[in-house]
Amino acid sequence: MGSLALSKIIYKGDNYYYSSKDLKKGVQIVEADNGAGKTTFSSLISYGIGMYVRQFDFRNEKDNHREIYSDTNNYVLLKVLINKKQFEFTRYFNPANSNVIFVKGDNFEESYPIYRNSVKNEDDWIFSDWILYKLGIEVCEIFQGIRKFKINFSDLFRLIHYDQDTNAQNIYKDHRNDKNFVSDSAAVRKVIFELLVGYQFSEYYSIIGDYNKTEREKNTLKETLDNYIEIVHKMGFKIIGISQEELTNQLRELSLQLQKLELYRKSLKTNHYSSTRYVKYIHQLREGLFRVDSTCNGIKAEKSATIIELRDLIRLREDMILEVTQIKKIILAHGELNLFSPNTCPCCLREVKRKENHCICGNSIDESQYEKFFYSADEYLDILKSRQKSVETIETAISSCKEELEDLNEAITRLELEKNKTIAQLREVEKNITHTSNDVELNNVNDKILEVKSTIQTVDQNLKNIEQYEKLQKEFNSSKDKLASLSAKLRSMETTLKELMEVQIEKFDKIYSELIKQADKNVNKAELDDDYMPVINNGVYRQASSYVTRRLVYYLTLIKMSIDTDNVPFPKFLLIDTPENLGIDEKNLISTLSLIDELFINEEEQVEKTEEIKDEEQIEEEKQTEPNFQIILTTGIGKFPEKYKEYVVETLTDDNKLLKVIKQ
Amino acid sequence: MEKSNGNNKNIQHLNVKKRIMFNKDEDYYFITYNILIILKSFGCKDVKSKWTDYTKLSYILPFVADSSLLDLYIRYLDNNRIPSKEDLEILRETYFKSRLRLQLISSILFTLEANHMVSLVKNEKRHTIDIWVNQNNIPDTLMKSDLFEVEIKNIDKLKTAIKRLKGLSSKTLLERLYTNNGVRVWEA
Repeated sequence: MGSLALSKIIYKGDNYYYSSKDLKKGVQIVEADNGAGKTTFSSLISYGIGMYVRQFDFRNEKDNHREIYSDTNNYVLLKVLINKKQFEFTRYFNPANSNVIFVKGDNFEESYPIYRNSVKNEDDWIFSDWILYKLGIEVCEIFQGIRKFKINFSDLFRLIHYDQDTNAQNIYKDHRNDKNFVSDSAAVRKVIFELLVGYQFSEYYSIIGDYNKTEREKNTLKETLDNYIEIVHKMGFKIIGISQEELTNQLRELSLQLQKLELYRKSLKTNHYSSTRYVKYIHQLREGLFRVDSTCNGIKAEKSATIIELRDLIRLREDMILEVTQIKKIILAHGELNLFSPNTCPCCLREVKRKENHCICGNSIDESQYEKFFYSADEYLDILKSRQKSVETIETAISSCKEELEDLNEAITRLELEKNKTIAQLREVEKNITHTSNDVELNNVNDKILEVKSTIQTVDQNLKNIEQYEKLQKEFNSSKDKLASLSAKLRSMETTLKELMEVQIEKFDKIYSELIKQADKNVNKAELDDDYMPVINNGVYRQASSYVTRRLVYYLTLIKMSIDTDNVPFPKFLLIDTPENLGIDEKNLISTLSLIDELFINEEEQVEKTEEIKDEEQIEEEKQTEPNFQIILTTGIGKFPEKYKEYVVETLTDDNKLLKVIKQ
Repeated sequence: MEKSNGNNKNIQHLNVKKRIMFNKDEDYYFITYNILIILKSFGCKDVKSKWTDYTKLSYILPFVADSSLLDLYIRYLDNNRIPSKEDLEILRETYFKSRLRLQLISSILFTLEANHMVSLVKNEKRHTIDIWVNQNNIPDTLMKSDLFEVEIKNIDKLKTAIKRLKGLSSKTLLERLYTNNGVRVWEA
């Protein structure tokens, strides 16, 4: 996997100047007195590689680096090897330009912004994206709840740069902005660790990013699809329930019909008068006329019958009304005259004295069954009411009769129209027969052709709509499929990754506990917890100075893993700034730093192990190259193992400070 | 009335039956008020102004009571045409009914005479029974009611259509009403 190493650090301003010696791979030590510029040295590296360095943030006036703040036209230039390729990074200190790094390589020159909030397009590269790409680490989006952010090089740098500002109890270098809970959450720290240790993780996170992107796409497509259906529906077309095939068939049939019609029209134009066809046509018309006529006559007969019925009904009603008025008069006459009663003789109409329960004729009879020849006032009223009721019934009959008559009239009108039309057609034929032309037929055909053409247009439009719809549907489906396959891939990857991580953690545990036991005799157990934080002796409290070892060994373990195992993305680079400052005693410090030896040992072993299977060219290369890692250590003068003296590249003292004044 | 006599048996709902059996043409009061109105309209109130031949009353009664029948008659009288089959049938039926009502009318007239509402007198010269109304014995509410406006109007029309109706012989009347319109009558 990728490797990162520095070969030169240059500072240049109007007043000050610094140029480091050429740096090699392996351990490079800058020893210095306090105040001579150790921290300035590592800060320049951090700054040059795109990190935020507080003392170089000249937007405020507090805690600034005095000399560099006062300098003008100043910049830092790093000569960097990324995977053995040479690059130059230049970054200016002027706050107006400090957000840009100029990158120069072979045949390559580019400038990148440093902070993501300065790019407009989400997909534009910043420096971090470029360097991570070079180091073979996929830039991925991390989602936490509804928030997301992209992993930056500065996040990974937290496990590359051992600084002295961070409390030694922590492992990760302090995050620049403590307000951002997401980018400094335990979950994100875990992601940083996983990315640096597990080679497949960047792929995994990139697939997650892909997944989220595809999901967004899918939702957009779904919305488009729904909107499309709605719009097309509003335009009066149907999409659902009609297949493209159906419409195509319909269209084919219609165009066939059109073709036939046009052929027919042509033949009509060229062929002159055909008598048999004409006779047939006339015959048809006459037949139609006859049919209509006979139906019409039938209905007319029905109509006259109905009219008679209606007349009878009306007469009946009038009679009934008359009778009602007459009964009223009868009642009046009865009331006034009171001439006749059950005791009136039916023959002479004179009053007779009738014995009770006997008829006038003398025979005995039940009084209630006695047939009265005469009506009482009540009975007349009863009759009146029943007659009035009858009038109402007749009214209903009359109105229904009238309705029937109206229907019949309508039917007659319709038939008359049809008849007239047929007659007109016959007249037309009669008129044209002398011209012997087929004008009538031609007109009919023209009308039909127009009709078919307009239908074709409608069907065509609908077909286009459906095609568009199906295209959208296809896109939506493919995006859905892609999502599903990504999801499946993610799931299978999760399992693999879990296993991978277990392997890596085990490796890490092993190396870490070996190293820390070697440096600190009081340690008997060391392992990582779920958040990948080291737990020493089951978390029993130990003196504060031991935390320096705990943290430093963590960093060393990471770099050792990347050296030992080719598939660890950690870029084989450490920047260690003044580890002695945090109250570690010298003996412990020396023994901890001595662990760096292990990095060399194992590498040599590995080379030996794999020597057999490497071809000659590669062996040549291996022998020529230096160690394939770099550790830059700034520390107090002599505060490192004696044997590392050869690695000291620079010694800074009060007389020989880092920044040299340019004499004018 | 004859019909109701025949149906004397199995009467369960007397009122209903009587209602169904009701025939205004044969109703006593119907005949009574028409006769009284006719006599009154012709001003037959004493022996001098008497109505000649009471049987004529039976013949003109349907025309007084039914405006449409009267209109039908007047229509043919005006244009001298032979009535249509249907109308002829109507006229014929009217004649039969009038003829059959004669006996009933005489009975009613006797009753009215017994109640002093009308007076009957034998006309030796023309061999008829003549009649007039005693208006004093008939309640004013009946004689002057608005209800009879139609009848009075019809009587006026009839007066114009057939002259000297009061003194006409029944034979002439029948000729005017029926024979002239193609309806055969039985009278000698």
